Amino acid sequence: MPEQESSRTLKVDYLARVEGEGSIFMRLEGQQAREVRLQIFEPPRFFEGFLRGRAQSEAPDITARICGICPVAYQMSSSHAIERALGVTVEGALRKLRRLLYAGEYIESHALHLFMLHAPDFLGYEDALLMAKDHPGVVTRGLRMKKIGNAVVELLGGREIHPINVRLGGFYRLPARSELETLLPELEWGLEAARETVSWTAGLAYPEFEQDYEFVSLRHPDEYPVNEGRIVSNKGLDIPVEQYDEIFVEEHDEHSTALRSHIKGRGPYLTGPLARFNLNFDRLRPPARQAALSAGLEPACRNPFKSLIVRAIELVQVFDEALAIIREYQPPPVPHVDIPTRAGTGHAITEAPRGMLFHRYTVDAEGIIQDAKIVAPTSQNQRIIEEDLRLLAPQLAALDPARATWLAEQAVRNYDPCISCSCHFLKLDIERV
Amino acid sequence: MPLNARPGALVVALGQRAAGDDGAGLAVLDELRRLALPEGTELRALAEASSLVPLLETPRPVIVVDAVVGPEPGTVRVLSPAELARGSSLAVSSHGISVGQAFAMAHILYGDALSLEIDIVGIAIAPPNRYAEGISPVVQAAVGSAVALIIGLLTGEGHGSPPSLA
Repeated sequence: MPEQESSRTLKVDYLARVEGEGSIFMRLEGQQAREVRLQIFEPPRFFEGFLRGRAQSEAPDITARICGICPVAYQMSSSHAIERALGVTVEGALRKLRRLLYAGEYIESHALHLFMLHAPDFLGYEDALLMAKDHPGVVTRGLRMKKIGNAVVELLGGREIHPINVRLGGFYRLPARSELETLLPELEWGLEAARETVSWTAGLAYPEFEQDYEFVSLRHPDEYPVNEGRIVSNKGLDIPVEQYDEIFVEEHDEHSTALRSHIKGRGPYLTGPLARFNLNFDRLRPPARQAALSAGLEPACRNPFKSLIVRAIELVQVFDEALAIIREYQPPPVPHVDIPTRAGTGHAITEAPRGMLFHRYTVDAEGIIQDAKIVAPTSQNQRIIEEDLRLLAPQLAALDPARATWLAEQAVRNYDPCISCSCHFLKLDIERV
Repeated sequence: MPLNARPGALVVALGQRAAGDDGAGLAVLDELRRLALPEGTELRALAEASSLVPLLETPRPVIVVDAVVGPEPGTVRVLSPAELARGSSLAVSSHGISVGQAFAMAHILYGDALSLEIDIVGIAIAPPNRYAEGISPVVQAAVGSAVALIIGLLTGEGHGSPPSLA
């Protein structure tokens, strides 16, 4: 075969519709990917260093600033980890309010990603603005859903971005039942809209692609996982969160300023909506499970592009749960449980919209943070994103440069990467030699 | 009432108080709340621009006040949606949309139902690089000019460039 037919260089300088700064480099030889690098070059943000020497009570507010779209996840993981270090458990209505707050964040994050960022890939538009001209209903539905999520977070969290009403042990101020009830009409609309979104996304065309993933997520005895559970996988992993450091490894690569995770002795794994869905299908609330079945989707779904449908199913889940929590809400007697000071180490994982968010803190007897470790979902998914691109190589090699770039970007967006969280923006270079 | 007054206007401030000078628009709104405004004027605060889109589907005049990154922090300018959209990337990030994108989106979605009178009062700030409550002295000094400009737009009186206009 002539050289020019077996080798090609494809270069894309900018991958839009993700958060953060980075690039992807691919070298293809024929149909094989010889090199795939998710290159993250955004400067490290040193939040773990900032936390050392600060009061334990500051951790939820400091870590919330790591991310503008998932601050609740940081607040929940930090609160749970420190509470575990102190032997504190938050139960009852306070626990449900935390799930409600998290539901608001899921609505914001999933609606923005599904409608504005990922749907254009499947409908053949470069961005949501171009898509809006032909599909105004899709965009207005997404905007209305996001607004509902904002309203939930604002009411419970005190403001839409970087909430200020979360503290160790619960909240500073509790909402009155009448305040929460103001959310009901829009949440009821949202539940129906989410069901329609599942049907709509199930009707889109998806690239043929699967791989034998190790899916990893939390699993709770009774509920779809949010704030607690054991770490499980489809390949036999079943450990308490406290053993995270024994099983998962974060390493630096030269081409990335973010840590990259893998399972010791096994390799990369996938965390996020697809993992939660596959490992917790039986924990979905009935409306969400029914929506999935109606869409023809049940475990094990190994096509990462179908994470679009899974996010819609999770929207049904969180709208339905938010409605239930508000309808059953009886204000607890106190807005927060007492928080002692004592030396200890605590671990927590909560399920952020993008996947597992691990926090570990060591605090001293005066309540000062001595050590902190944070592992964001995008750090955990970096290697599996590269693996997807490597396995997509035969398809990429068969496409013209523009289509290959489109498909590669779409594959990255399956993970809704927040590069700034793992510390990072994407630019795609594919070199074919 | 002067012909160029904006009766029943919606004044929307965008920003985050926790992000330093990004809260400039909210500081202007705080001042406006202390004043007697023309009847029917409504004041709203938003943390991010996606919530602005549906508000633009209205027959009412809309005035948006927001911090804009510019070379001369503390200057105040009236911009049109088109001017703002020109300086705005079309690439929506996973963390939200810009004000320029919000106007472009609303224009596409609502067409003729879009407010016919939209003004953006932009307060120039340096690129925000800190998380701190409160705005800097140079931006605080521009709040009065922005308020005067908005009052001028609402009443149709004194509409024009305040002394600190760039």
